Amino acid sequence: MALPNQQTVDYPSFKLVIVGDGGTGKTTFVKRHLTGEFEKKYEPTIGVEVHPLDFFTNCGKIRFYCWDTAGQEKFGGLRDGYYIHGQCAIIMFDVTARLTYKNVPTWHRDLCRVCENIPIVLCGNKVDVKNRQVKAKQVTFHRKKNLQYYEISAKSNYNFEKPFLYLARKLAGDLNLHFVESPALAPPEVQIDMAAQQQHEAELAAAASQPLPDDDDDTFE
Amino acid sequence: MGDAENALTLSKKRSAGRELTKDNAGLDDEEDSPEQETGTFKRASDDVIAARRIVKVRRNQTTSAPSFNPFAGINLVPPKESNSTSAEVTSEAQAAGEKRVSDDVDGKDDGGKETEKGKDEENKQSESKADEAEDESAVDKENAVENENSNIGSEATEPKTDNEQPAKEEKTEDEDKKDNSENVNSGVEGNPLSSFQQLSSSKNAFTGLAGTGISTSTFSFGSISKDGSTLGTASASLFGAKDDKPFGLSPSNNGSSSIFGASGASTTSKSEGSGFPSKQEVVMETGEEQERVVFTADSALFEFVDGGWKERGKGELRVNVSTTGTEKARVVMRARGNYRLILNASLYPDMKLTNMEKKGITFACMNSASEGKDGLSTFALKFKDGSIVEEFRAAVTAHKSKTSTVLKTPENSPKASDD
Repeated sequence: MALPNQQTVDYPSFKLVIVGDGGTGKTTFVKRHLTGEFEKKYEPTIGVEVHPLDFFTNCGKIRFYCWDTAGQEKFGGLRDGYYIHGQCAIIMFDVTARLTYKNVPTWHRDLCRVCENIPIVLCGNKVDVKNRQVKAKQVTFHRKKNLQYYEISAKSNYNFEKPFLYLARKLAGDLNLHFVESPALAPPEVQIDMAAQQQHEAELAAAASQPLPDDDDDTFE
Repeated sequence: MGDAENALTLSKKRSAGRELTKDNAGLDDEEDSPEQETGTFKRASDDVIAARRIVKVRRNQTTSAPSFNPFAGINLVPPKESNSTSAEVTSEAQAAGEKRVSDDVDGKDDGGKETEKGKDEENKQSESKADEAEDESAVDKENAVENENSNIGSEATEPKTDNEQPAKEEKTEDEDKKDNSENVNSGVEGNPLSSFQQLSSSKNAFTGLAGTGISTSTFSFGSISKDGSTLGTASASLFGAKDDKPFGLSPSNNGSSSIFGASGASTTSKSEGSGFPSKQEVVMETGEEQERVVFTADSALFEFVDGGWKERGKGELRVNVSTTGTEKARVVMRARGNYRLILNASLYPDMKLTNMEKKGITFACMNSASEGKDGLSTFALKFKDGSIVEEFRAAVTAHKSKTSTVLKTPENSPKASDD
């Protein structure tokens, strides 16, 4: 499961395959979890990018190796190698683009051909957008396929941890599993002298004059 | 059974009736049969035939990319028989007394799957219930949607039970049913077809990888597939466990000491907590046990990178002061939802706070929550309200100077300090 150059961990880790049409927000979603960043630029993923993503739960630490795959066929349809030994999956579509929902069955079929009977979450992303094309009621695919469905927004963070929580619960076989605060060990006690700070002064000044991003009025809902 | 008679004509069990050479290898079935049958064939009585299991084997349609399947050529029944189903009785009798090796995949598995599905639904329902119950402090405007979703979850049971109505022999091209039989296969323990499938899919992995010129090319599936086909070892604990059920490699998760060790089983059996060993609760420390919170507020954290602000997350910010007598203070912040640690930095006496527009405040600190970075970075916090900015400033100003001046190694935790 782990790549050879990736350190193995002494806690449970799972291969999570993330699929869906191009531009539905798979990479942004993963990045949001990894760094907190919300990437607006669209740079199509080529092939696959694997990111370890750790969560702390009441049952201990757990890691997902997120296989963030290319949604664009022109970057090579997904080879079975991406799916193989997948232990859980997220299928993502964009509620503002109907076609991406129409393609969900194809992604599901491809996935299930290789990974039988793994827990799968269907995610309708971008629900923060005002005029969506796929309404919650129109999403029915998960019913007959026994998938879990979540409406998410990588932008507003709405439900953004739910897919992982669901998968963690399924994988652990514990429906009461929940995420807990990740431990904050005492930070290194390093002397920060005036010299160091003065060196940093320039950046600090530049930073102070640079306005903070303003796009998220929903920060404190 | 009637077959026994035929078997007697052969010198020993399971030997070929006649040697194949290059001269006779290509002969037609019709020519073969009479030779072997000489004198020994007689039609079994009707009741014997009635008692026989006459089964047709067809290749599992769900096997992925059959062209890669190393077993694609293998037919559990000699091909001639499957071709001539009309001459069924004849061929059955002649086939060197060979009883048909076969299994009725559809029929057998349906039962197993049904229970499995049932359990799964049960699971799902309680899952969605749990989800609802769990107070997410959710955004109210979306609450309606959420409820709708969980309803959908439970509704989902209906169409499914329909599908499960014995679709035994009938061959449906319906996609639903196909999908069902997919599930079926994986659910059955030790089903030989499944093992073949397993092998074939590992094969796919290799071919797939060969084709992609991407980072995954360094990825070796070699050991994995070995673990999958031989019995799993400790190193493969997760896969071992995972593969365990579908492919009938029972002892494979022996070495797994992890609490999720048996997780694979749960994935496949989905039994609701039936004797699940992994459920023990672990006491997770927050690392803040020896501290008191002097300030807390919802905030958004940004880091200044390459001349621009990058969001690092939104969540609860705290200013903590050690209760072990040192009065050391730090800022700690975790993202809402996943509780990931995004800010963890000591205050220091010279720490300078600069107000920004839009209820922001910026400062430099060494964030030990961001990996792989040493030294000072510039961060900004954005609060809901300008007054909270001032409260934060006051809290930091009040405690930054008390920060212990004793040099400590990074390993030192507050409680371990000696002053």
